[in-house]
Amino acid sequence: MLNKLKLPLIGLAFLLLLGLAISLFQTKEPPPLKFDASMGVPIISPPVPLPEVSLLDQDGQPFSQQQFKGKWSLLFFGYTNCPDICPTALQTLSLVAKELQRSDINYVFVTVDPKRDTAAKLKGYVSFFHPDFKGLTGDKTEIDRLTQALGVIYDYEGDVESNDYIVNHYGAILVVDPQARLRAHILPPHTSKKIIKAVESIIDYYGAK
Amino acid sequence: MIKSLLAGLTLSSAIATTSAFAADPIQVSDAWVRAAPPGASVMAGYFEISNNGMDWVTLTGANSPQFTSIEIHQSYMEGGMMQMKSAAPLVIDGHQTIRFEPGSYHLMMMKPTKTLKPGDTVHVSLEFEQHNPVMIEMPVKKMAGEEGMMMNMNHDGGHHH
Repeated sequence: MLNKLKLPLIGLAFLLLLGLAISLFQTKEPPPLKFDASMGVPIISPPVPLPEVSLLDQDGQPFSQQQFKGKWSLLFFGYTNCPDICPTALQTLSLVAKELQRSDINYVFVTVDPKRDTAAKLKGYVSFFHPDFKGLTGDKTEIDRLTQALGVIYDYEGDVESNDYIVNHYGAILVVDPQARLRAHILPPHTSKKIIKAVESIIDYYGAK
Repeated sequence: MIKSLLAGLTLSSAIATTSAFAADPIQVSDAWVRAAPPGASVMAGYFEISNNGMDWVTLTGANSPQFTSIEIHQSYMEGGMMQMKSAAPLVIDGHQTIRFEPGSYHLMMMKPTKTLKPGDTVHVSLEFEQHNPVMIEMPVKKMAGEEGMMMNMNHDGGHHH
């Protein structure tokens, strides 16, 4: 009689434990994906959640870190008065976008020069490289919250007051996962081939969600 | 008869080639300006410059009626940041070639007098200390084939001359 009651209970407990084990396994950080050191793609493991930020997109609409959720994102930080590095990086990213043809990847240019880079200016700038590229600007304090959390460094050189200055800035492309967490840096030099290899390997390994 | 004619042709073409080099030791090739979004206040120009002479020449500056000013710049990485600095005067040794390319040496071309689109041509005069200005034509293009940032990873960002 007692045994007859116990058996289903043990079965239930076993199922519960199994369920717990599966959920633990799923949320557990896998061993970091490793690239050849020469490739220059350090993986962040465990991934770093993006801070709460309140920015503006290229249409002047509010944009928070929540909007990185659901897709992988490739972020590049720069400024539109940048003659060489930023257009080169965005041109390379447009080649990547055309080659990959994936709708589950966002391409995002974040300005570190919000004084000169308004939403309207960013819109003309990013759409020149690809119609789907996003541009982000906003208050400098908000941008700084994002750059500081991600390890993106920059500084101004010249006369900021009279708008005669250049911006020195971090040159890596940052890979953000669909849970809005920093997952990798793709260090320069950038070729579209290298970016494609890195991005496809990362998404294959960590999953599209 | 035919032999001597051929010999004569070969000789004259050899002379032509030699005299072209003698006349101008500075050769510029693969010149282009990167197309920029409308309203851009700054653009970048690239080329390969060879000094076929024995003596070094110094590139001191550049100008174009199509831009308010042009500076000779170099992008480089230092302390993890992409930075830019003036690269003029730039010494080009005898028999040396220097490539201006994305992520490295470039002409920083400021405030175009009117919007330049792919297919347009920019006329630039390169100025030298020991040589007459060299006029070059730089077509505006979106890109030069598949390219990446071939950056100078030297931590001192030093010139190589």
